[in-house]
Amino acid sequence: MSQTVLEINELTKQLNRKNIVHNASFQMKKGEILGLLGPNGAGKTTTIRMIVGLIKKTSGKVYINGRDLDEEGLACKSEIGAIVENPAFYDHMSGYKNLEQYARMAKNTISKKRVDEVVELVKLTGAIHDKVKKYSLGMKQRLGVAQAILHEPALLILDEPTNGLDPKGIRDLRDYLKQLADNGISTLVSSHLLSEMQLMCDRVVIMEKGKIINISNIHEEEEAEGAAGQLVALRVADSHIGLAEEAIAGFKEVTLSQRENGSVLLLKMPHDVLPELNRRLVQAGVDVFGLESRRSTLEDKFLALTSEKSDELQKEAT
Amino acid sequence: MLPLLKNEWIKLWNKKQTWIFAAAIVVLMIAITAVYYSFIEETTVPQGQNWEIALETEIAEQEEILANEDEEWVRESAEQKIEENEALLAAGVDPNITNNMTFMNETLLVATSFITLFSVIAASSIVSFEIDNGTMKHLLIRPFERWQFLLAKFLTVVGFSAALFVLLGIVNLILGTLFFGAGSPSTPVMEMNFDGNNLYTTIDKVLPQKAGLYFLNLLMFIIISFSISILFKSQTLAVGIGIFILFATSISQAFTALLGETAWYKYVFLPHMDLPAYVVREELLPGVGLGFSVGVLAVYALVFIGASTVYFQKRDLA
Repeated sequence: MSQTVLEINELTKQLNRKNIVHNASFQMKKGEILGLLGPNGAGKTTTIRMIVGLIKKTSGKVYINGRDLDEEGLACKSEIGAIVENPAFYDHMSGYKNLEQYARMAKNTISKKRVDEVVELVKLTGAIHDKVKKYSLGMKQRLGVAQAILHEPALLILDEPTNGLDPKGIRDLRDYLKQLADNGISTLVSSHLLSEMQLMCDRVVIMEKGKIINISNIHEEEEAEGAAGQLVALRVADSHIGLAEEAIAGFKEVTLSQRENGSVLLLKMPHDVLPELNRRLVQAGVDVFGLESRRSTLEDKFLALTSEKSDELQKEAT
Repeated sequence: MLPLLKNEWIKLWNKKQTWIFAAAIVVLMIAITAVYYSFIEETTVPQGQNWEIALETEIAEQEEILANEDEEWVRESAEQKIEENEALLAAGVDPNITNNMTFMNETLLVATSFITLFSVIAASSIVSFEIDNGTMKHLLIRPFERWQFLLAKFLTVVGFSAALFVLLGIVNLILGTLFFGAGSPSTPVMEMNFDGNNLYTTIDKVLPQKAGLYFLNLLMFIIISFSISILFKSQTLAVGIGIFILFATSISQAFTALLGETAWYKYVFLPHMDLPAYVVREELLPGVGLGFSVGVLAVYALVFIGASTVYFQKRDLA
């Protein structure tokens, strides 16, 4: 049974008669990791802050586990755990004391055991009694995750969680979110790092200029792509371009889609004929320097979408 | 609500500033005791004879002057002295007696302007610190109403001020007992009144009045600084205004002399910020008694609290 954890319906925020967010609607299922994507100023943070109640919405509805945020605000809030922008703490207190503060504010009683468990989970056991001002940014981020999941929320909201994290930190966070998702916790992540989102999320909502311009399912698209044929970049010696093109022309599953700066050929083909192609090239006497599959990235898609939009806007203008 | 109060109280005492303020109160009280002690040493006439006899001797001396002298101002001064001594005798007030109770009666309110100052600083920073530090957003996403956070913070500041006041009282009592010996709480005293008849009373009657009236004023200082820091989002402004009012209060008698005649002056809160003056006098201005003063302050308090709460309930935390 797929349960809807979060639903936002025509959410709008106006400031000085300008729409910061305009009619944003989407839903999130239980255990889903949903990415909120867009350039700076697209309205991601404002959308998130309206969901957690830091910013008053101008119009629209937010439902959490089917409850209306306007009518049962406190019940809704106890289902949410969040890091809004950089995690901020009481620097003059230890990590543990900080967590105790948040534990006391939860509606359900949080045992000492639960606190220790969460500390263990975010790998802060050794440093938890140090003052937060001694923490690195990565440690603060992990403490931020700890305070957000302490009360076992159904919905985790992370605003730009990868800001300031090193590659290992980002990877840990990603693994960790997957683990939470397996336990049925849904996560809404906002970011402008497209490659990160592609790895982390099940679905992405793309926002631009306050509007949602696309919602897509990453896994489904990847599968669809795999069946239709993927893009492969073939790099050969400059003098062997002709030979290579001949070899490819005689292989009907493979189509040449593009030549990239001289010695690189972009080919489109089903995934499983790649070894056969390699064999034929070798037999034809082509010196192969590289053969790599290229997935179309979220970045391509994002740029395509946003440029479509700007084309439309230009058309409208003329 | 209780967890919020507990959290605020813990956060307050985890700050170095709080302990420095408490230590400053102790140091200040020691300094006051030292000054008072050396002052008493210098001026006290050698005791040994009965104080009533000393007063009567003085009356006799003054009467002799009165009989021989023609100069108007000397006669006046002598008459005044006789009158005063007779009143002291009638009320049973020994003007030279010094014990821990008279010490407390005379010095307790001297150090309170520092308590006011520290309370103003605490009240101005308790909300704005969390907004500047970024932790406010982590509070407001918890399942509590915004006004509950404000109430918890306000009560914490009031508790802090009360704690400082109690600390001052205890240190005062200890030092007084050490240096001046234990005395009876019902020791008769004279309270000077520059605008009318002196008040002859006992310490157990007059000191609780002074302390209570001071605390009402302190509460007003807290309300004003607390509200201004919320309304203007500025800790600096709130501390500045708080200190300005503190200074303005100490010269409010000058304002009263200048503006006391105007119809609107009694509705300004400033002249009512010196409530302990009501211990010796019935009216601050013609027709303005304690009830009127408290009423004016209450109206200001309600307006400040109402405005800041409404604003805080509605504001967007970006």
